[in-house]
Amino acid sequence: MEVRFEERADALVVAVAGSIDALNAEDLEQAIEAKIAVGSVRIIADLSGVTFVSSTGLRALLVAVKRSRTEGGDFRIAAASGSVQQVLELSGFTSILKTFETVEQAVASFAE
Amino acid sequence: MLRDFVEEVCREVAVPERAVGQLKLAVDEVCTNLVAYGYKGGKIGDIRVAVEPEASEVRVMITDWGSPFHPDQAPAPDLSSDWRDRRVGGLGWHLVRQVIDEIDYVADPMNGNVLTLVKKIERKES
Repeated sequence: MEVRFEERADALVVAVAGSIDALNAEDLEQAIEAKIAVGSVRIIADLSGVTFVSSTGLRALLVAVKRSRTEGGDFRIAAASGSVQQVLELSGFTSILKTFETVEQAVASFAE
Repeated sequence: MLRDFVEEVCREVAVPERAVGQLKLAVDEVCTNLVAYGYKGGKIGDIRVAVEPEASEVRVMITDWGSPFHPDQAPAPDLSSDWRDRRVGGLGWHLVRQVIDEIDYVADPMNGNVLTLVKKIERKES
C-alpha cells in the first residue's frame, strides 16, 4: 500500500494505492490520524489506485470518518473502483459517508 | 500471497473477474479472523487453503487447527445506525456471507476445522 498526501485549497487529498488489508490498515489509520491531529479535518480519500479492501481496511476508513467529523470536518471517498465500491455498499458505508466519482467532485463538495 | 494464490487458480479456468475478487475477499476475511481469533493468544498453527474450480462453481476449503468458530455464531453487523453509533469492526463474516453462495463448517480441532465456501459461477453464453 502506498499513501500520498496532497494539499488542495479546501481539503487534504490522501491518495491510496494497492491493497488495504489487515497487514496495513493500521498504518493508514495512523497516517490519517496524524493529519487530523494537526488540524487537517477536511479529507478526501482518493481510492482510484486501490485494488482491494477488506473489512479491516473499512475499519480504518470508519475511524477516519468518526475522527474528522468529531473535529468539525469530514472524510469523503472519491474514485473508488467497482469492486471497492461494492464492498463499501455491502458494508452499509455508503449510507454514512459521501462518495464521489472523481477527486475533483469531492474537492468541489468541500468548497460548497 | 494468499489472495494471489486464489487469483492464480481461478485464472487457470477463466473464472469471471468479479467472482475472483469476491473469492479473494472471502478467503482474506476468513484467514484474517483465524489469525486474530482462531489462533489467539500466541497459538501457533497452520491454515491450509485448497481451491477447487469447476465449470459452475469454485469450492474453497480452509482448514485450521485453532479454536473452532462456527460462522453462524458471528454477531449480526451494524449496517444502519448513525455514524456516531456505527460500530468499528465486525463486518468480516457479513462480507463473506454477501459474496459467497454456500458456507459449510465442520469443527474438529484435532483433525482440522474445515470451512467450505462455494461460489457459483455464472458464465456468459459464448
